[in-house]
Amino acid sequence: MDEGLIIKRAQEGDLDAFEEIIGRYKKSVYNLCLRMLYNRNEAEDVAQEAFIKIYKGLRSYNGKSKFSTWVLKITSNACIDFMRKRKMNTVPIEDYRTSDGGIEDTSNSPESSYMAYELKKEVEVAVKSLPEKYRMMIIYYHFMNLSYKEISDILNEPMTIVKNRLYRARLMLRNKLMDREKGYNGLQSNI
Amino acid sequence: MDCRATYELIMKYFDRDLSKEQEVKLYKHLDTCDSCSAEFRVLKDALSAVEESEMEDPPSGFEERVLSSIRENNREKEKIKIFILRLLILSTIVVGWIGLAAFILYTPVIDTIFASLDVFDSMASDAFIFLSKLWYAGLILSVRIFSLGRTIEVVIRAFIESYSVFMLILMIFMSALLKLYGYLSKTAGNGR
Repeated sequence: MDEGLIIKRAQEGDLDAFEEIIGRYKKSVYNLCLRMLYNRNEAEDVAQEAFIKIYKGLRSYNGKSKFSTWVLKITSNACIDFMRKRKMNTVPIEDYRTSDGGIEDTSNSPESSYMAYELKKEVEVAVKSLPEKYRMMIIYYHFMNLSYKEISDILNEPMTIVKNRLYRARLMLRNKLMDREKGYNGLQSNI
Repeated sequence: MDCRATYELIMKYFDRDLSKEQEVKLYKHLDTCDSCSAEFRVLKDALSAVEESEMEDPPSGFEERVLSSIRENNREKEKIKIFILRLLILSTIVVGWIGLAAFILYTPVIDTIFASLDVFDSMASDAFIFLSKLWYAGLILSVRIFSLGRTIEVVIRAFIESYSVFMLILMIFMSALLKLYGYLSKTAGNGR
């Protein structure tokens, strides 16, 4: 069915239409939360909360930006709110690893698959260690495949700032990974 | 080409925004510069690892949980709405009665009504008693005529018409008389 129609029906309070919206966006919403919070339980809670916020705010969606962008904007705000609260409560964060089911091995040889796995794990740790502002850029652009325009709509920042921040994020990521390589060479892992 | 310019090209490469010509330039520099090449390789591996990482499916029953919590929310809202409605009705009734009582107690209307009663009270003159008796008799008569029933409706209608004209004249006469009486008593009062 046409998305505009579904949105309109959901705006009128049709829960079936909203269920359709959840079905369409749950994956990207949940994964954005997962990549921001690194904890499955929290990600599910925040994703649910985000959908409730989306439902409540449906009437205020005016079609200025893409619906998907609007959904991700609310989600990322919900995540940021949650992280702030978490920081205040200083609850120890349960460590998250995609290795327990998330990553699929695409290569055949055991050695190369192990290498790929190691690389993914390493990159994940490096991404996770970036400051939130920059981590978000890598997640939005490279994980969620959003365009500069969409990211700038989500963040309410001009495209030039988005671009600069993404470049900086890439540099930070590169530096982290290169430092780690050096660390391995010097036999001092800093995981 | 220097490393600084290469940095721009590398970034464009990952934006998927590199022209053929720029690509040739980039690879040419990477072939000759070890540090740029190493940086490029690390970044490429890292970003493709990010891009290739699969999205996970949310836990099963996710939709149902969201919907049930929305339904719960709506029910709460409905309850609050009904509560507010009840409160409004109750307060309207209470305020309405208090307002009515206050209106009767504190506005000049009630004084006016009592004052007018006083006027009637003081009009215990023969003429007034006679007229009011006449008016009462007329009222009774009219009630009787009306109660005679439909059988003589046509006859009555003609009578009623003349009767009502008579009543009208009587009422005008009476009010004129009352007015005259009031005028007389006022002038008498002034004379005293």
